[in-house]
Amino acid sequence: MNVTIDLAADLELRLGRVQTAMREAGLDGLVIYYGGQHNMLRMDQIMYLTDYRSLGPAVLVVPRSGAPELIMAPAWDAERAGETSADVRITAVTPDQLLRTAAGTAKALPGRIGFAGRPVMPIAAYDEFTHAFGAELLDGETIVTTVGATRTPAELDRIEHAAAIADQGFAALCETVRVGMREYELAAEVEAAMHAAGAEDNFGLIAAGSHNIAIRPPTDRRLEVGDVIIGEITPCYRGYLAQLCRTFILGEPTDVQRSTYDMLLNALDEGMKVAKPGLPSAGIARAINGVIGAAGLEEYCKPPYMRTRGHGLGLGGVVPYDVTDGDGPILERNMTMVIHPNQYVPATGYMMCGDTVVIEETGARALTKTPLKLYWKEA
Amino acid sequence: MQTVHPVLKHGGLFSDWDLLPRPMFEDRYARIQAAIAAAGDDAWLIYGDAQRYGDVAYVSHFVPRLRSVLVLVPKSGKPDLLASIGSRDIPASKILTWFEEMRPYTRLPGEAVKLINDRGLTAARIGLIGTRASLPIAEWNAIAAGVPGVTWIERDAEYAALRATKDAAEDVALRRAADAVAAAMHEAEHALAAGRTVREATAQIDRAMRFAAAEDIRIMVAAGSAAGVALRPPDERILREGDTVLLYLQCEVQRYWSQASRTFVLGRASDAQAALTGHAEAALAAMIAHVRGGAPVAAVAGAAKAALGDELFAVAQEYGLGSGIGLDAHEPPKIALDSPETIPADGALSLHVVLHEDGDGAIAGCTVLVRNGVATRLGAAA
Repeated sequence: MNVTIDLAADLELRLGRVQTAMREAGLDGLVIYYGGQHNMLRMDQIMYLTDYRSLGPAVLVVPRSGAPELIMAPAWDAERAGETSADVRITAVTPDQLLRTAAGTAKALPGRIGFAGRPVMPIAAYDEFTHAFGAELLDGETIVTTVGATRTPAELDRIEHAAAIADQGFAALCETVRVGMREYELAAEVEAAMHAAGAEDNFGLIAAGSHNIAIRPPTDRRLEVGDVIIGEITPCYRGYLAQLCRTFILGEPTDVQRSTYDMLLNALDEGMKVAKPGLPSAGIARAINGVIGAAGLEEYCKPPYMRTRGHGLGLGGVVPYDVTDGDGPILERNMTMVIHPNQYVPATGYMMCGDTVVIEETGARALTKTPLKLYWKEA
Repeated sequence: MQTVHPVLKHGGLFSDWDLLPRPMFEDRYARIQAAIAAAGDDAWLIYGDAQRYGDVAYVSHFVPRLRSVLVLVPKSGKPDLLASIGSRDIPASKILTWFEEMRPYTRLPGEAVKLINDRGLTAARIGLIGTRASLPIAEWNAIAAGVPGVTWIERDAEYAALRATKDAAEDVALRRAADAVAAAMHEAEHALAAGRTVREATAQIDRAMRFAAAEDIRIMVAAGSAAGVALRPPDERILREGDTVLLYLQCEVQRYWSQASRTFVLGRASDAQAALTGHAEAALAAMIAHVRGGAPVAAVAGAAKAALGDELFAVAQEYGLGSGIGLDAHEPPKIALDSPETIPADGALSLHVVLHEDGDGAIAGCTVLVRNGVATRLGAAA
């Protein structure tokens, strides 16, 4: 992790790239709506440009050149918004004033105006905004997501930080897990460790059982001897997520569990080998499925058992999105993603194995550092 | 109070059918079907997401851990539930609802159109609940275009009327959520200590709620010099001796939310700080004293104004004074001077007072249960 990063310059770089893309798309302005319902698989375009993670709905009006304007609510959160290093004007309003104020700001822009946010903007909000705006809004949905396909230095630094927190979360799982505790108590221990280490949020799924069908949220079930504990640990550090997938057995693993996990480690290794700039993301899924299919499990590499072998990850879901063996984008340097050959196997149930990586010139570099092995302890 | 929505519900997700028994849901379902018939509709479509799931949970007990959910209740017969999950997730998701059937989807519009077709409702009159407030415009346009023969009617008001009166069984869930918050407040007495970061302290507080079976949590804090400015999500500020900490907690247990808020001082409070804390607590007590079934909501807000005076009341109003609480963290009625509403005879309110003055800050808040018109403050330790 690099502590000398100039965040203001990094945010200026992002804005410059977005405004260049706007001009190339023939747009004179871009209006970005974000609902405030944060999601691991959806990019927060406003956060990308302002470094402000909103409490609720917010609108960013980006001109063709110059500083954008953030219209945010509630007004009492304005001081936090104002702590951003981004060159952005902030207009703080009450929630009921948000959309009309934003429409007024957007109307002041000349020319062709693009809009991003229809996939998350509720009907009532859209009606209110478009009525107040009163003119055509062009499709600007992919301007920021395209520019944001690769990580800037500041973004990468945060993802590395999140990855280190994920490692601490799994270490807490190994340390605190015991027979008799409830699944949600184990999840609480993992999350408490990650919060204390700096995580502000977590996409955390931890499940246990003698034969898991898939990963799921924790329940009130008490852990038993022989349980296979699967964990998808995804802490968020200053808006950026990293994911770690591992498997832990409460008791000594069987030979079948060991050999199955070795196969998954091999599949991950093969997937990592083809995660290189210039190659299609689908190649990762093909490589993983190739290893698992060769073990006679080809039918289990398809729905309903499995679908993706990873996904873009960082500031929400980003390019290359879902990693499947169909179509997929070409990988580029500084893309970040999780590669996870998680797999349902009839003999063992669902097992998890995966790391967050950054695509570098020579290939994928794992950002999560927890050693790759099947974890267990005496029950 | 507005808080940060997390990327996933934070806690255990399961159903306690002893706490909220299935017959309660069957009774609700019958009432909803009667309301559909009374409205002259053929069915109602109820939409919810991870942030606003109360309408869906009311009928189904289901809560989406992320993304969205759509329930179809026909005038007669069984319901359908579309959930944004994969088919392999169905076994784990079915434990969250008493409904027998669940359909997974990756894209809502196509599956919703298919459902309407399958149920023979392509020329029907269908009521909509929760859609205008939450359903994304892109998805709505695709659904409406897919079944052009359907007549759509907004039924939010009719559904809200059904939800306004809380069932007696809901009291137990609300009390359980309040107890989880109370346990966390007790933990805060130890967790909030000089030398720790706010995030370290709230990690411990969060853990206490999680161990009390929380399925989601919200924490907002103002600490140190910021206590005089605004609440915010936990951050890396280091707590120091003499700091004031404003702590706002919300916790969801078995779909039901509770809230409590309290001012902590790490050491001895200054006279000004103690006075401000006293004002917040007195205003909260005044509001609680005016809560009773059938009383005007405006009178509750007026009690806070009378206790605080114009200047401090204006500060408190920036954060609001609270609202109803239950399956959603914020439900009607909103506590405001201009509210035309009355307090339900059987309901619950989340009340809070936040004050800032001359660099100091104070907060007081709690959940109040109203049963048979009588108010009870929940969460003894809060």
